Amino acid sequence: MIRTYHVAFAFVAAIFALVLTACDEEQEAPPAAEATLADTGRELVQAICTGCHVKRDDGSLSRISFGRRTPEGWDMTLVRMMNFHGLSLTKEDRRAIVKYLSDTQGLAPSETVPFRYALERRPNIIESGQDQTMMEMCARCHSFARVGLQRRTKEEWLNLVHMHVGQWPTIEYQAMARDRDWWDDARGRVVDDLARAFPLDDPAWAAWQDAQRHALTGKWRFVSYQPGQGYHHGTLEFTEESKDEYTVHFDSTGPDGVAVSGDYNGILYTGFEWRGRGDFGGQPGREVAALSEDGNLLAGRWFHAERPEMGALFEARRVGSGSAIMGVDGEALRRGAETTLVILGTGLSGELDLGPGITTEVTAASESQITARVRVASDAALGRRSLRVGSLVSKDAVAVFDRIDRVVVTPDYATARVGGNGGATPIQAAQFEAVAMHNGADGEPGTADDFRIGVVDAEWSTAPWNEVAAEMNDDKFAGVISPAGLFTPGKAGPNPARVYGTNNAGDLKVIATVQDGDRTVTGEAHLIVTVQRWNSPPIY
Amino acid sequence: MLRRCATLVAVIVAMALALPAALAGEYLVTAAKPNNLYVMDMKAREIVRSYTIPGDGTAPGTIVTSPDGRIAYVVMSYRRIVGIDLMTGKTVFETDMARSGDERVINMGLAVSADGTELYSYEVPARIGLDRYEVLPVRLSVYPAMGGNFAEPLRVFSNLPRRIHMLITKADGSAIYALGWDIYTIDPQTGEIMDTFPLRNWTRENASPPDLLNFWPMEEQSGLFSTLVYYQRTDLPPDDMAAYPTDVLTLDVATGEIKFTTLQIPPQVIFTGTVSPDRKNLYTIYTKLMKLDMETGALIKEVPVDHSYYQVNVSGDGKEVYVGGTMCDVSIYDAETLDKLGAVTTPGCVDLATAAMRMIDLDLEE
Repeated sequence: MIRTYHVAFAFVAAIFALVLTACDEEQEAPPAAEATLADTGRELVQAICTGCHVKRDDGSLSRISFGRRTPEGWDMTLVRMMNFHGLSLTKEDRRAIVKYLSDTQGLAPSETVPFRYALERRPNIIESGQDQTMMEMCARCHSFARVGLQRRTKEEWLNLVHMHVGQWPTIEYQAMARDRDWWDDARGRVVDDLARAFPLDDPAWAAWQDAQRHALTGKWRFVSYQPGQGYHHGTLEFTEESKDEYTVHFDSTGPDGVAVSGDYNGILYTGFEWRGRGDFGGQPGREVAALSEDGNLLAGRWFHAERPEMGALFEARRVGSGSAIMGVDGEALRRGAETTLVILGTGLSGELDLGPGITTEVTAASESQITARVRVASDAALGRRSLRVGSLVSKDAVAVFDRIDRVVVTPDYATARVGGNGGATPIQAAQFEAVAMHNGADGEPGTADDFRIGVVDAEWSTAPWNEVAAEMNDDKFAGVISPAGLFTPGKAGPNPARVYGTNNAGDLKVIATVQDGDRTVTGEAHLIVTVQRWNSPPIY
Repeated sequence: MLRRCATLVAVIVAMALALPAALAGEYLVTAAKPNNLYVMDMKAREIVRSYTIPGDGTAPGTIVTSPDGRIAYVVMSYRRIVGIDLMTGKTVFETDMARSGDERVINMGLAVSADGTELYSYEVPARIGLDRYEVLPVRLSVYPAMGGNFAEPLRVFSNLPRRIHMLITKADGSAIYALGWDIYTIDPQTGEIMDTFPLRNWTRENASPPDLLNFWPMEEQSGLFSTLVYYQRTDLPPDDMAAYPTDVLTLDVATGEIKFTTLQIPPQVIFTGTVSPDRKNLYTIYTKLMKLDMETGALIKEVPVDHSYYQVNVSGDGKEVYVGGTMCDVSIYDAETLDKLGAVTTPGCVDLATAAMRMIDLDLEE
């Protein structure tokens, strides 16, 4: 059926093209505007999806017209149609349909805010703030974000519950399901709650239809901080190749000072959802970001296409749209010491001022970067303080400290996954950082006057989390941690060298040991090394 | 037990009649991915029959056998039931359980009637429409046991609760026991729920509702169906390990009597437990094999095993314990000492995964 429609569509399109050509020739009219990606998507939805989805008199299509989703959400729907319901789509058709549906039935910027961590594939997120029943009902298998990034009518939420049982019928038998009247709960109160929390009709979406759209075309200044590595910064030059489709040229300087340039491309969906992909300095990369409503700030995360845990949050500001301090490298300022401070931003001009007790000597300055030697008096006031460049203020940007009282390891709870070893699923690593802390004037840890000093170098090690982990020698099998705090898990599959031949899973303490003069300060985090994710959808 | 007696009587009668005196042997029936069915002679430590289960499905699961041990009914990837004659390898029964072309159905409980003529199947259906799914009421279907390639149910009952995960036939044929939120006693002729034994609604003092789930019926050697039951003691603080006891629930297939024994062990993951033929011991398995006293729940002995196993069964003479599922070996342990005696490995080391492991008496030389 689908293939037939496809052919029919191609035929219609060909006739249409012929007619257009004929018109051009006869009337010598200016060439018709090329069909945009979204136009193609609309045609494809009408031609292909209507094979199964009934077209109503009002033009709506059953199921499809009664939901709104992110680009990733729509793509996951298409993949489900392809995997389970025999739909066959070329990559180009899939892209066009996602574009059209995200543009016309997407989410408004404000609707995505609580759940952008999922789109950005941030690692080690523990979802919170949701009702426990809803978490057990939905988020025991996938992120709650996958739910919160959809909008549906009540009938459609109910259809989704039916789909879940139809597609995964053991759902009622799983832990956190078999202890309750799952089916009655799912089609009753859960559907009620979802329809209330995430309705199809929402004023935010209505308002977004009328909001002004901004093209990305032009030059942008970007700064990103990659945990364990440091700052990447540089410029992005967007060129719109066709409506909402861009190529991007980047010039970037990494934490090691090495310059990298390259080109990638991407699409702006729904007027604000930027999705880039391509070669990010020798790595297959992805970029997920949201364009601010004024069109001057692009904020999100870039990551390795196959290893999404490896990446960094970034922000990019349209050059010429104003000035901003976007990053401060070297925030930890020790009393009585001299150090180098680098301020990254756009439109930077004017005096650098770090307040009383700190003298500065700018060694290099441009509108995008200021490098300064900083001398901290031995009696400079302790604590976080703001940094000024001309009229710009970066609040609490640096810390003056005399000693490291504690070390906090971030994230304090992380997950890594075994992988590779000939299997289809790569490892998932975990990046840690040691954050030095000061106990404040009262000298007591955990009180209001404590302050963060900043990320410091540490010696990294792992140890069994508890007795069971010690008995299983988890620390010997689960993986290794690098001097930069990057934990690389072990290979996938049964390990004959282990008790029970079990795999390289483990329950570990990650320990950062920091030398502060003669003193040794340590911090710990909890790391679970577990099995592979067997599927890796764009929204977990 | 009754079935075994019947077999024994038949054998004695046969011997008395001086027919060719081939004694029935004991075999272990199990299956492996994607579609392998094995008959293993555990005493000889070898696979004596190897069949391919026809049709779709890549994961054999529950296996039930006819009272004469001749037919094994295998649930394939939840979605098909295939009956194979273990003597010939011939398919004698097959259904995808769909009552119409747009249904997709899974099986969550399978049992053979006491006389071997009918197959009871607990089914969870959904209708797959052009653009939507529709969840349908669960049902108990009764099929003719030799229903052939497109077996159609003789009776269908739609009055049962959802969430049932196990069917067990009463030895005298008068009832089907269904395990779900509670244990329901069902009339196989009318589908009527004749009795409900409370599990979720149990009135045990200082105890949370119990949690149990089991897809591996293994009552054949003792006449006791057994399943592990987990719950929380509400009279103890949650950080006290003693607050998480494990019970074994047994159901006597002859009488229907249900009993609980609290196991005297710390909380841990256990997949299955099987009662010894003399009903004195319980053997449990996951990463260790444990032998426990059925009367007191006391741990008699435990040994670590080579890897995790899902199931445990026992020889009819009570001398050997078999652990299987998960990877590609059924390993053999001495029932007294729990010393490992050997293993039968699948050809090519194909995964036994979650396929059941049943003991039958059958004369393969017949």
